[in-house]
Amino acid sequence: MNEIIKINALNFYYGDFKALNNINLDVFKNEVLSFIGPSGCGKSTLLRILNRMSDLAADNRVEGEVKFKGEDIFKLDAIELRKKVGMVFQKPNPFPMSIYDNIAYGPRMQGIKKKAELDEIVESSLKAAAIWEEVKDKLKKSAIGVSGGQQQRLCIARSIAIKPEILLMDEPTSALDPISTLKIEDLINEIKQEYTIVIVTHNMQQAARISDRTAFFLLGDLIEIGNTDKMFSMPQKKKTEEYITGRFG
Amino acid sequence: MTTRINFTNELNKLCDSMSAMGDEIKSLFEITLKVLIENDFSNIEEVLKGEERSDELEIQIQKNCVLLIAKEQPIARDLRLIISVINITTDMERIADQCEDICNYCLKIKDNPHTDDDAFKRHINKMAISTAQMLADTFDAYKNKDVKILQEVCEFDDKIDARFNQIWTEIIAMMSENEHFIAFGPPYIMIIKYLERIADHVTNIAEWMIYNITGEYV
Repeated sequence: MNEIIKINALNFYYGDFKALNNINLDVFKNEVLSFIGPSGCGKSTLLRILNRMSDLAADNRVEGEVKFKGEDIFKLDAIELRKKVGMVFQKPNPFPMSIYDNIAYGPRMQGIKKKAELDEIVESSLKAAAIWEEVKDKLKKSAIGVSGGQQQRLCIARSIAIKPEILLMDEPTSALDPISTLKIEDLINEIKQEYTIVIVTHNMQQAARISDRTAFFLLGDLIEIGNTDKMFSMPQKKKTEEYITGRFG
Repeated sequence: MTTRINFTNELNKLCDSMSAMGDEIKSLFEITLKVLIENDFSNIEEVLKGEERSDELEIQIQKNCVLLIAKEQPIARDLRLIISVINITTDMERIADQCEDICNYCLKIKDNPHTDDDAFKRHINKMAISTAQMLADTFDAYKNKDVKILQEVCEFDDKIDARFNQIWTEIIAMMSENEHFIAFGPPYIMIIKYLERIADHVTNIAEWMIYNITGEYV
């Protein structure tokens, strides 16, 4: 397997509080990796470290190493890193502008000005996010006016538009209805051919349905990581079994 | 804090139903042994009724399994338990069918019973007792989560198969040598075939129990 991210002996602190404890984990290219665990286990913190969103937390401290394609992410420019490692949040957060401008925002920031080129990026990104057919006739309408499920797929399209290599997703369907949730899951399955996806989810069945591997965290520790099929049929650690079967958490 | 109390209770009830069905199957097989070995037909009606009862139990338990899958989305050990119970109840129901079949063939030869004095009948009786022991060992081992005993049960099936082949040869030889035995040969061949099938079902049950406990397919 080809590691795109390598995490070695990672500790992370919010002030005096140690949120992650000696994490060692690889993310492989073109896999869907789920992070699961009860609230406060550190899964979202780890996700946010992967594109340095964690820099924004006050009084944070990092020990250890995170490498993206062999390079120490803490030595990379954070903005450059985020172009390669995009993020989709829990609540859809389209910008208050047209659908077209939402998708074209990132490419424009990268200096692309030609309309034909932007048109091409907008169309291909919306197609990749499986929402083109639904919005192609209202590209100039406000992105705020579409449904929550469509907004979330727009946000995925917006992330895709800058051609990242990794997409981080922080509970991307927790604010969506069941059908919109399944559409996002189908979408994840489609786009994993081209992207590596790391997803934090509280929905155990979702992790089981969509991810190739699953990592279970508890109180800042990585308890177990392995193939999802194995994890959900025969987990190796008792704590994992208790959590995924709903016996605690 | 313990969670999923209701689900845990439902799973416990499922295990209890499976064990209760297991007890009924053991009891049917014991009556079948009395019919076969002692020519004691006094309780044969229980086997005939018991077969219907095991059909009902199988359906009832499997309906509960489907409901639990639909409502609780079980995974890991919970899912393994439910899948095992579905398969084990199917095998138990087949054993009940085959007890009835053995009893019906015993009825056909009721008026001319063979005893331990005949070597072939002694061997059939021994095969039946060994099969009953496999069944009892399987449910005891499951109660104690004893994977080693369950594996031994699976391995013992080869001995039952070997006995079937040996007795089959004996019966064919007797049919060739003694024309008075020709009418008895086919019923006894059917009886040993059903015993051999019952041992197969017991082996399946033991394999599903191992899967339930360890997650490994045998």
